[in-house]
Amino acid sequence: MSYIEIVGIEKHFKEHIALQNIDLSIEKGEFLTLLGPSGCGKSTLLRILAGFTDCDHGMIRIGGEDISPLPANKRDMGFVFQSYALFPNMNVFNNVAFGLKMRHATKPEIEKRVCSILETVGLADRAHYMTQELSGGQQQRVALARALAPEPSVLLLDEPLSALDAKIRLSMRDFIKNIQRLLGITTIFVTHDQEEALSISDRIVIMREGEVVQIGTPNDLYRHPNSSFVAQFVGTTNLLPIDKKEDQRVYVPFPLDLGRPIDPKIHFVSIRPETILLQESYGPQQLTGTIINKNLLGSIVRYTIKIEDSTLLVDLLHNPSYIERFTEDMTVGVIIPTDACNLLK
Amino acid sequence: MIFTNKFSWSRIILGAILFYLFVPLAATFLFSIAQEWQTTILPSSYTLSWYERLLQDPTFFKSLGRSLTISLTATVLGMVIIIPAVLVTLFHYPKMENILRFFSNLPFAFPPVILAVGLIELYGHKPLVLTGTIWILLGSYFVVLLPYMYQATSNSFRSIDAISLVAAAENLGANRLQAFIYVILPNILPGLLVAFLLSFSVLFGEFVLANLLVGSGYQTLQLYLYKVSWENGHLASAIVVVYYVFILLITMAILVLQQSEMKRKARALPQDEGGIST
Repeated sequence: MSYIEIVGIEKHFKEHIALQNIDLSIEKGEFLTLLGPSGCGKSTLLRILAGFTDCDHGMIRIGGEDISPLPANKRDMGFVFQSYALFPNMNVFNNVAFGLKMRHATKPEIEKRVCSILETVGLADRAHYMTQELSGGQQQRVALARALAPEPSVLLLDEPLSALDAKIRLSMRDFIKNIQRLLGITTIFVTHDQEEALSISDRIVIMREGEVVQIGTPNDLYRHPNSSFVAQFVGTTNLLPIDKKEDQRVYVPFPLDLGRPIDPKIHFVSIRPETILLQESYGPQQLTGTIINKNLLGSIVRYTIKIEDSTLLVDLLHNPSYIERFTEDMTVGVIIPTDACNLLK
Repeated sequence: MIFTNKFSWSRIILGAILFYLFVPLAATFLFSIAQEWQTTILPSSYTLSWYERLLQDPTFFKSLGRSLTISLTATVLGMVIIIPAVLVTLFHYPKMENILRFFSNLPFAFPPVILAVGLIELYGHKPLVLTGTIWILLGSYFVVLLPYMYQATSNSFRSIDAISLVAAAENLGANRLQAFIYVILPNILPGLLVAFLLSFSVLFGEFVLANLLVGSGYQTLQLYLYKVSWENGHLASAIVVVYYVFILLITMAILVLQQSEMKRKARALPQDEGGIST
């Protein structure tokens, strides 16, 4: 049995269904991310786990024990808020010590534990600052230290990086990941940022309108999305509706040979832009298209290729000698490897 | 040249306004220490005897005591009822907040005379006769302080994101009461003190309701002042000066508290990464 078992969680807000039939198993020490657009129920699920919100149905077990009846203050979980929610009347030390005080730890114990965790988050020299005197990134590290100080069994993070600016967000992302690895704490992370989710998680749960759409490793989700929603939400893709099917070939509307039988329920082909290749010279039977746009995105260059009536995005690594060969209005050969085509319902 | 002209004009206007505001106060003060003030611009002789007489008058201290008692009781009662009400609304019935705000601000719409007439109509006859007692005054004072108290309390809860703070405290093992005592209360205390002092000083200077609802049955400082003003102008001036000093002290306390609150907020402004400024 897994460390955390979430069974049949349901939640309604009046007429609106916030969550339905949520079943999840999380292993000890795992870093799990709940990913989805805003309003998909991911934060509600996290708040139900923390005990801030009641659920209408379902059960949560940690280490085999049903914690659903326990109030928030008896659940032994560390929660990090998007807004930090640091106590403004206390300095950094007292913020971090609060959880230990509530658990009646002795003064020397508190002193030792707070100093050690502040050391871990790199804020040992800020212990006697008021939280308002720290920068956003530092405040979020205090919030993390405060959540971790009582050594909770689970760490819950509710969009902890979205209030930070882009540069600090990247460094905090690695920071959270490293701390989680170091302490080996089971962590559930909520975000709407797919890039964040892909880079930080062991496994990702994709949610939409209160339901789980797909669960898998970042690699699985990226390479084998199970629906057009996941294919579009995670990364960038070319999602092509199928007009017509033949034996082992589909028309989108240009013909694509798939080299395998096609399930009649399939309606879309998803092709990642970086899997498509471009060629300056091409044979008479080969698929060709016209470059209508060339967009520099930094380390990659994104081409928009028009093939018959449809357009394809193609990403090439920004290697100057290679990139300069392909310019706007040029007709090029387009190679789409059959294993790059994901068939979706 | 135009600038300096403007500058001096603004000073003159400001000076005139201050002069206009301070003359009555200064005159009252002068009158309270004047022995003889008939045909001269300034009093011809001075005395502290009016203050002496005032401080020797047991009725003055009794009415001062009554004003303090009724204003303090009503203010404390207001805090005991309104703070938990705002808290419960915020946490459990956020949609009711508009209704609460509407009712709390209603007293602003009714002049005290109308309120008093209505209350006399309602409580002047059986089954519940309250007019002439301290109870009707206490009740109506509660209504008068409602808008001040509600606004100050609700603002101080709003300024700290109370819901997240309570959730954070609970997550760290505190129960609701501990969360309130250790986290919410210290953060809203300056706001509550302002609410307390504001309500108290409004009630302390209240005359219309006290006069119409209770009258001589429970003589407050304002009623005493009103009575004395018919008998001896010097004595009445001395009361006004004492009263003014008292209110001035309370107002200064409010300002000091608000300033410390503003300083706290100013420090809370977001700063740049790595920027530790004190």
